[in-house]
Amino acid sequence: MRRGQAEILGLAVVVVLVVIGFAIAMQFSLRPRDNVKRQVTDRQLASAMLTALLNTNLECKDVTLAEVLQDCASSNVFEYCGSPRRRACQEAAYVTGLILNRTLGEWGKDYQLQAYTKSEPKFNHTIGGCGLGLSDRESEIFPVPTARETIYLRLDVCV
Amino acid sequence: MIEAVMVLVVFFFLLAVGLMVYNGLAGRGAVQRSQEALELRGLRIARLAMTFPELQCSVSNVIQENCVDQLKASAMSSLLSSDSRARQYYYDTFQEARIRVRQVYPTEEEFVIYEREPAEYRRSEATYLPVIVYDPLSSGGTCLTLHGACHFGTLIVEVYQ
Repeated sequence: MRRGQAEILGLAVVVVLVVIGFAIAMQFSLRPRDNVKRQVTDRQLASAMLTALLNTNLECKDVTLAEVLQDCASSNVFEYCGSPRRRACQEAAYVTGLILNRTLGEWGKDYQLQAYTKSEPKFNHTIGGCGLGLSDRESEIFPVPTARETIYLRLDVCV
Repeated sequence: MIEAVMVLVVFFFLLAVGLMVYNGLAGRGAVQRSQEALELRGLRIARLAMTFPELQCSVSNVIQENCVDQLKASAMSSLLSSDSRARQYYYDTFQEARIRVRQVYPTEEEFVIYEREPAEYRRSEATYLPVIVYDPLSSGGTCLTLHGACHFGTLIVEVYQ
């Protein structure tokens, strides 16, 4: 092999190695980093949302949403607001849906709210939906105890 | 001779491409850090506003967390819209931002607590904090341990860059 050909071959090897190096570097650089701040904020958002929801009074009665959920989990016989009057589970579903629509919905955040007991689901609201992975959502679960069984309110805010 | 020139041409070409790529990535990182700083500032102001006695719900010095007193918010809004000294006082804390309390249930109402929007800005970032809006004038009810009603609202803080 002549000297010039050997040099060109060496140059070709260098070029190939540099291109491979760039490709690997670009792959790492362009991968989206975990936004820890966003995860913390969304977890706090879910928690604050549930806290405020559970302590909110109904417009027509001096009861909180937590008390309505307790009724939903136990007897579900009392009637609340609306015309015709809604029962506990319907009222809780209506109020939570309205509030989430006016907050997370307007802010452009996908979410899933579920109310359930160990024996059965009560109601849920879903906008968009999160992915299947654990890192695709920030969740908060609040248990509301009753004499019969505990009802859980779970909010997943999609990240 | 020609081979040596070719080697130099290729070398400088690769160097130029590498510098362009590095510049692009570095610039994108700076924009991302700037955006994160803006978000953190909004979050800090929101957390700070919730600790102000001018907005907090309290009875006999017992403070309710994540709760805004509707009467206090209305009074603060009126004060800051009419008194320039009060606006200057809070500017040291909030600087250029817009803070409002928006009640969403049962009725929709809004109070603009503080507003200082710069004449020009490149971007703005909003932080939302769900809160209880306590109405002390509502009769016959209880809100947490207070006489009145708990409504659902959000504290919205917009910051500018």
